Amino acid sequence: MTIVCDINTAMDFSAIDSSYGLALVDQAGKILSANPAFLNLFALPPDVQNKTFSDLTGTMNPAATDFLQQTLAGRHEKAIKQTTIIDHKTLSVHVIELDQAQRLIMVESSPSSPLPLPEINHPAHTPHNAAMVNRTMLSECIANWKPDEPGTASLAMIMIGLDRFKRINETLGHDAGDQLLKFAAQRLLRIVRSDDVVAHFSDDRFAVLQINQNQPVAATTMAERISELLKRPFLVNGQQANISASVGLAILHHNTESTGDLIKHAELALHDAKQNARGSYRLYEQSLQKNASERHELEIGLRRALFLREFTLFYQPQARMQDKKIIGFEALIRWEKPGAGIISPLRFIPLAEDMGKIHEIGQWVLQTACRDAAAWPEDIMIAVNVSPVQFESNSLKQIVQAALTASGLAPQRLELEITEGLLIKNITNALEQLREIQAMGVSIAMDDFGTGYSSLNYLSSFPFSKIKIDQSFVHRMHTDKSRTLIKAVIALGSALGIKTLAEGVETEEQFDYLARNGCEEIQGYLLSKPVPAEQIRALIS
Amino acid sequence: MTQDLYRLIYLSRNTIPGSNENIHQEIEQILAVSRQRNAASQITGALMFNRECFAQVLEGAHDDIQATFERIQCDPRHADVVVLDFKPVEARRFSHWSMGYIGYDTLASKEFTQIQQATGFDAKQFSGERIYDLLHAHLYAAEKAGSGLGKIA
Repeated sequence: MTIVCDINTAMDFSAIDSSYGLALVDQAGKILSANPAFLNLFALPPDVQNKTFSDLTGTMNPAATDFLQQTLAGRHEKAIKQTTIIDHKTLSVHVIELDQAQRLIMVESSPSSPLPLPEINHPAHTPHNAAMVNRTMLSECIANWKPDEPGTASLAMIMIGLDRFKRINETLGHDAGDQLLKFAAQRLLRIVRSDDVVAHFSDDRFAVLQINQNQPVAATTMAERISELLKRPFLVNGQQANISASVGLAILHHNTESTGDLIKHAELALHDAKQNARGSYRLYEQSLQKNASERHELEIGLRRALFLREFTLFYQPQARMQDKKIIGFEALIRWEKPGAGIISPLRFIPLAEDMGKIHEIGQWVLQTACRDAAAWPEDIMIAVNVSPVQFESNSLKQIVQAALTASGLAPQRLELEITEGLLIKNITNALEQLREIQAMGVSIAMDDFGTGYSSLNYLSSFPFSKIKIDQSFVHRMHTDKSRTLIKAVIALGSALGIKTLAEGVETEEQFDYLARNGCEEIQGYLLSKPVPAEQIRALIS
Repeated sequence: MTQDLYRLIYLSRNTIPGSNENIHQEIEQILAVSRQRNAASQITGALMFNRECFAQVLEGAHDDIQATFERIQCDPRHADVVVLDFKPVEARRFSHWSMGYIGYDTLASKEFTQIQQATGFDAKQFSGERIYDLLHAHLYAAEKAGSGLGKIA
């Protein structure tokens, strides 16, 4: 296409008979002149001279006004190229800066959109007339994709997961949740290019497919824009609602070689983004697939571990400081997975919590520990760890009661160890359950104190039997900071009338320091490592 | 509830680059577009600008405010939007203006900046009422004084 016009003399475009729409605008976006094709393509009245596109709002398709205003807003660029679909016509618009004062708009209509999108009845209607497709259509778009030119072929999948969306449903109601989804969809449709495919992927997930754009720049730029945009407040049902969005990216030829893997990889990347930092974006890489496979395998193993009796309990002694006499044991779970060896609880407990399997495992631990302890001398206590997730079913009290009844263990010999994490979420309910369990005669200890969101409030909110000083402080006892912290926790315990136990004590030096500062009990390798149930007799005799 | 009268007050950070002249032109465009749209959907309100931030009040039917706000949210010329207040109100207080404007070299804008400095630029500490009263008082004062209302100050 060649357009020859001398700007200084050919100010009047009205005589230019071309299929291209041409218009000249000044710095403020005022139309200086336009040809018939331009008026025709945007369905404008003949008299547009000296008007801005916003002046013409009433006379033309609002989608076109919006589009032209937005396009002209990028006034710092020398040349702008945009594509939009208006009235079922695909319009390519070029804006070229002629000089400081004037810009030329060229519009070209192509018969069909670059990627035919099925029209669906989605409430999200937008200025660009872009539509939301569903998951199946998204997969079809990927399957039918043909590279433009072999060298520049690219396809990028941007998977968007709304964070905390469930909470909106819970707190503001499902109606508000639906409205928010609609607005989130509209925001996405407003900022994507007209040849991007936008899909409502599942409940709180959207996907944007970018076709033959400059990658990875286009996808990462879009990901940033999306997470920024969805972080902005929404107004729903007379209230403001705030969410954020995590984004996972999979880009063809950037760790993803097959178009068939795009969705899966983008989901893996999204999962990772959500785990690490909500509101962030993550590009797929091979390690994510590896981690996911490992996790999957662990999950399968975990589902049958109980049934196959792969768990065992080990017991680590707890002793009085004054004479190192063993007064109790902490039950510690071990999982020996055939072919994989010992799996650390640090790895499988969070997974079990995630899967909900922790309820069964926790129940087994309580039953087994109580049964083992019932065979020990009566002055020996048994401490059992309880996960915050176990409180969610509201049946922990019954489980504890059943374990005590079945084993015949006196409730006074059982101590549950909880962590600060329990008290962060729904503190009222957690405290109520703790009180009920305590009323049965069972004592409650605060575990890992100082590692989480330690708050003095938590300590005074419940009559804990014991504060366990986390082993990380004991291991770092050579630093002033750790020593100060240990002293402070012991002082705090003594002020509140709560016993303190130091975990991870390995050396005499650590022992002496703790003894000097009034710590009452210890646990750690200095005393003994965790041992199987059969070796307990030998330890206490 | 969808037709009930609501009031929205929000703050956002200006992201328009370039010279004063350029910012001036962009705001002129924002105002032109918003006045036209607001008149069509019976929204009234005011915008205040102090180079760094926008403060805006919108009054109108719940759903119209919702739709307007969503459009504003997608505008790349601002960021860090903080909603100070969104609640039902008895009556409009900006019924004279589809979008009244208080620009950056005005007394009100200086007060806006002072509030901002006093609160350490922490949007969470801003009171919606304070912004609201500031906008209201100054727009009326400007109207009484007969200064070109609706014009860029």
